[in-house]
Amino acid sequence: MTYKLETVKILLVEDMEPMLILTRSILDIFGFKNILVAKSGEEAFKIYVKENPDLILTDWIMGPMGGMELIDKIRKDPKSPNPYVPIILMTGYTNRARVENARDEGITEFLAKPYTSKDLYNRIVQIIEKPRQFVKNKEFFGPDRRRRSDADYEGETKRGSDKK
Amino acid sequence: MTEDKNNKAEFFTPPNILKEKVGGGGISEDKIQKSQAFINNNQIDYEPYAREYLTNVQGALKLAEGARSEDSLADYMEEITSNIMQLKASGGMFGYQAISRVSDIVLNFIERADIINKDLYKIVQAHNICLDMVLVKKLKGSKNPEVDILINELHDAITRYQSKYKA
Repeated sequence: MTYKLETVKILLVEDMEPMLILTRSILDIFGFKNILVAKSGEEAFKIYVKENPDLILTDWIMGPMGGMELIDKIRKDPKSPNPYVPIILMTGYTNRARVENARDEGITEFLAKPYTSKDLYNRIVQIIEKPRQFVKNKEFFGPDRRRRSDADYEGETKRGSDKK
Repeated sequence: MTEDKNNKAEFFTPPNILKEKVGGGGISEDKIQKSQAFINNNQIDYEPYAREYLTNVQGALKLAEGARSEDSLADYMEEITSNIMQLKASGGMFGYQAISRVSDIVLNFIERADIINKDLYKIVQAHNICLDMVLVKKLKGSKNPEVDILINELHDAITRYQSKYKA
């Protein structure tokens, strides 16, 4: 038995045509049959609102609306049909500060380009088998940036550095 | 849902719709190998896209050299950085692993550089020359002695920059 990926609606957002063709083909080989595509964040958000996909795979740098702005709208816009939808952000950036910034915007998983099919597979498995909790406070709404295993923790602090 | 009394953070566990839909068992190894073979053997003509990114880097580099304010310099550097990132991200997906390797080195260097000056511009220029050569000679694949020489020269230039400016 393997994943029934033909039951999943996935939205792929990529502005570079060859990369779009390549990634779409890989998803097709994996078994996804309901693949929606967009070439900008703006187009993607329209499709997302209309189609309510189960999973989103998006590039970061695109014009006129990039991946980060798209993620922000998915997580916070009142028109968003599912603010909890898992989002994989694809990018060539691996600089720690940039990646942490992306996590602060609400991505679920990060996929560094260039990637192998195994890399993409691993991100998809991670989302299916080990989904992140969501956290909401004054400054942030999105997947927990730590993979929490202690959801019921209610103590004052978790880290030694937090102690006064 | 739980609530941390100090920072008022609320934790939610949304329903795992994906898991409910797909069940278990993962994706077969055969499909993973087949999709990797598709990446390795794709015949998409990548060169025009690489040329466009290189042209963008070159244009932004000229503007950066003549920038009259810190803000505009920052904008031009971001333009240089994002286009080098695109080269790093895409080259290896279309057989040009050398483009990803060279661009990754320069991307890491630029993102860590505190001082923007003519020596940094020279390294970006060297990056452009390297990639132009890779494209002209169609140096595809992950192992190539000519590419190794170019990469060693880039590393040396970056090391000289870093020791000069204590970066």
